[in-house]
Amino acid sequence: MNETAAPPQAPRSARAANLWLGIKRFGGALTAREDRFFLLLAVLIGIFSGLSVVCFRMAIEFFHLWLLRSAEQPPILRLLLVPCLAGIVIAIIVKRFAPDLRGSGVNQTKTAVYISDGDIPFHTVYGKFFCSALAIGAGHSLGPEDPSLQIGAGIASVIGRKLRLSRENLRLIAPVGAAAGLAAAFNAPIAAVIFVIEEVVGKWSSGILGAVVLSAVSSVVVMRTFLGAEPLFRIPQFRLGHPAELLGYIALGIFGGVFSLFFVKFVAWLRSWLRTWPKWTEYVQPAIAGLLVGVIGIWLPQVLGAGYDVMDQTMHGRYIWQILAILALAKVVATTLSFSSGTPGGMFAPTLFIGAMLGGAIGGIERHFFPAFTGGVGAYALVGMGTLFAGFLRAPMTSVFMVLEVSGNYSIILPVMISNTIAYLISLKYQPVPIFDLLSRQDGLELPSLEEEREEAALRVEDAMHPAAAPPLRAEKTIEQVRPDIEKSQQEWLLIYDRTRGWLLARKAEIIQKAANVPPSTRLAEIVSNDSVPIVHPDHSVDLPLRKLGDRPFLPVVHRAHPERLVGIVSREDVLRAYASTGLEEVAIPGPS
Amino acid sequence: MFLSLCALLLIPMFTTTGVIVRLFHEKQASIAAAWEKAGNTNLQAGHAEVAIEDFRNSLLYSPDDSKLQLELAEALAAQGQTDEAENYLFTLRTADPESSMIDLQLARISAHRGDIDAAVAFYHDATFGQWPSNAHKNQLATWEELIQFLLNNSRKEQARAEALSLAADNPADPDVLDAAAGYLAKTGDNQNALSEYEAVLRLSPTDVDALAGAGNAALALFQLPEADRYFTRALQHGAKDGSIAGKRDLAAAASELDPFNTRISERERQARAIEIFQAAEQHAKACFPALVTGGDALPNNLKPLAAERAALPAKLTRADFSAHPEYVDQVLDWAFAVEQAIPPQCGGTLADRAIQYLAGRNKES
Repeated sequence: MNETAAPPQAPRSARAANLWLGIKRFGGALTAREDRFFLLLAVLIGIFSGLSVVCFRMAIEFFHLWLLRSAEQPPILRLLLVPCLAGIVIAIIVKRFAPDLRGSGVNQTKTAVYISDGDIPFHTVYGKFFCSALAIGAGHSLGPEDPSLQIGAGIASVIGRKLRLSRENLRLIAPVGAAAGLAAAFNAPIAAVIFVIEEVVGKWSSGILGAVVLSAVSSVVVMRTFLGAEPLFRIPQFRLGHPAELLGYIALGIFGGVFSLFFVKFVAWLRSWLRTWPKWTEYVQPAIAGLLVGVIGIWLPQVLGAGYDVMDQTMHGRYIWQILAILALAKVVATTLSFSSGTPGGMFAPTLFIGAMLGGAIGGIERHFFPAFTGGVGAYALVGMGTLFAGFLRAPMTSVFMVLEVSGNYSIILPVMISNTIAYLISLKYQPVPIFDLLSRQDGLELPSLEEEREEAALRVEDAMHPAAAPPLRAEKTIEQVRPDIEKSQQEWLLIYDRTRGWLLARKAEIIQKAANVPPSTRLAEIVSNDSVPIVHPDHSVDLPLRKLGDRPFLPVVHRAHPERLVGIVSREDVLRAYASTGLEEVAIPGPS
Repeated sequence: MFLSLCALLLIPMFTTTGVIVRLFHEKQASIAAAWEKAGNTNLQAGHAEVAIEDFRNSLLYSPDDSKLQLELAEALAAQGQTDEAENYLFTLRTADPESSMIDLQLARISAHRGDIDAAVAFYHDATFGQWPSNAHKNQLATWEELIQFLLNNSRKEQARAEALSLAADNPADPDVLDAAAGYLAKTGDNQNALSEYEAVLRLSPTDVDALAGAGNAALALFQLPEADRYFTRALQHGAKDGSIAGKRDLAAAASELDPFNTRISERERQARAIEIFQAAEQHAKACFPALVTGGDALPNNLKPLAAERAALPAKLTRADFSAHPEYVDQVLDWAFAVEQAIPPQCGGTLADRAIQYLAGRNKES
């Protein structure tokens, strides 16, 4: 019998070493360029955040089952004890070990970005994970999205620090993680990206956008791998019963705006009032809040926890409008109690809950009185979520995209836009400081208000420029043709337009001197130096000329459609004068490069 | 180096998360099953409200279970909470637009709400949609439910069209043809009903229900010999309906008395007219003697009949008809009017019932 000789087996340790080397080489190739590296990092952060958020949601569910059992209406004794005792445990952890677990995850992420150079300690990540899961699972009226956002940001920060990223990149990486956390929590990557850009970063740039999108997408992919691709709610069919039904959505926008105002004012008042209590009471405030929320839960168990199942049932017309209105009010009270007491947890889910209840109530009223005009209560509940989101959290773009993404129904866009805009404008009018800025100011932090920046009137070049004293010279003309204009000009510097080189700037004396040494038929272009001048347009921000001026005396302001047409000129003095005239002179102005 | 470590760390993290999620899903499934079981138990015990709460609790842990949603929707609809039931069903319908079970529930809710057009549309969708099991049987049951719904809502023409379609779609199924014929008879389309019953009898000649139905249809169409024949055959094949014998006798008696039969001679017609007249007169004498003998003790509606009787000869013979041929119609009209005016509690013979039946035909013609 022939026996084939077996190939020599490499030792197991050698194969492991080869695998390790392969991984390192692969990683090395991917990280060769910084931009690729950052994108790779975003994907990695997204995966870690997605995994963490899945575990976080599981933790909430297990805590809920363990502490409050599986029925919709938990036993009364548990309702009275569980949120209260959980509050005591959370208070001890927060006071003794991690005071930064209190408050909004959005603000803490912004604090990390704008104050701590992107630094979020790792204990904040697992502390937030445990305390928020316990609080929400025990019935406190809070949501998991805000903590998820902070968990994602924290993971990103830890990874960034371990990789010794530059300060600039560390600041960028926290929002990348925040988007991943929020996207996984909402199962809505677009809304998460827009929220982070809208509320945390405040600006769109290709670098940050690419990373944020990648991290959000990868975290959602991970989340869906484990929990499925189903949206947060089972959305009922939407149909506009009658064009007049849009009046109902206008009413929803008005009520949503007013309710948002009430909610913001109540949170702000209770939070600042609780801060006047003696310091030691911070140990019992979450427990008292838990007890009160438990008492509310005896009659209205729907207000306990995040309440996604209740929102789902509302969309399917389970409750009559009177109950929905009571639930909206009760949730405002319960959430304000839980949040103001310093219990870790978010405001997103409660905001959606209140919006859904309010929307459902208004839909129910309309259906009761105008049955022919109403499509369905579920659509009102869905639009109501976006309405409160726009009015309370003041994220109008996110609110629209969130509803679209959650519903997967584009036809609902019209009512969503109408209602959200009205609520947003009412809230903006009567509550100038948005909730997140209000909270950070109560905490003694002056974080940049991105909404205030958005709303600020921008200074543009057209506000600073002045007309040119003389018309520009044409480079294709001969010396003989332009000589009268040159001699007539009182300016030290002359603007010349050349079809091939664009706008040029030359000293008058220098041109006269060169022109004297060439025949009169020589074209002006031949004696002017090649240095073209940067141009600006009237709608450019006024700080752009400052960055482009260099040592030039002024820049040409030209028409966008006709670059050869001079609209005016702008100098450093013009810009400063414009700032001074609008009271913005304290803005730091970069000097010439 | 750190990135490579992170990449390796992902393996245990994925595994751990997978295990946790799997444990949770198993837990969810067991809780959902326990609540569903409780819900079904309570539903069977007649505690629908508790069952609804159980189904709701179950749905908390199995929100995408369409069977559970359908059960909840059915329970809600049974409790009259149609709005919520309808919303659940619409959501289910979005995911499974062909499901006949969902459309049937929506049809019933629309029917309950009185939205007939919507109900008919959903019944149609349900009839021609997809059934999870026993498709043909469920389709027929739904179709019949639709026809019955239309009949209950006085939409006889629509019901008739549905019944004809039902029969046309099932030409070889005697049970369906039998049911369709029954619905056609209810819509008043006795001609088509008789045709369908005859179709049943071609497939199943001893079908007692079809024989009785055909007899009824023939009787309604005044096809008296056919009615007599069908009823007789039904009785021969053991029909248990006690009224069939009576109907057969009625058909036979009416057939013998029928003065409108085109196959009889004028002489025979006159003889039958006299027989009908005498029977009616006897009946009138028994119940309202003054109608024949004269007098004031008559209700107002019968007084004109007494006057008409007085105008006729006291004892009517064939010779009177020869002298006054118009008497035949007058005599018959009087006899039919008298038989119809006499209240049922006054009793009467088989001949009286036969005359009443013939009076109906006379009225129709």
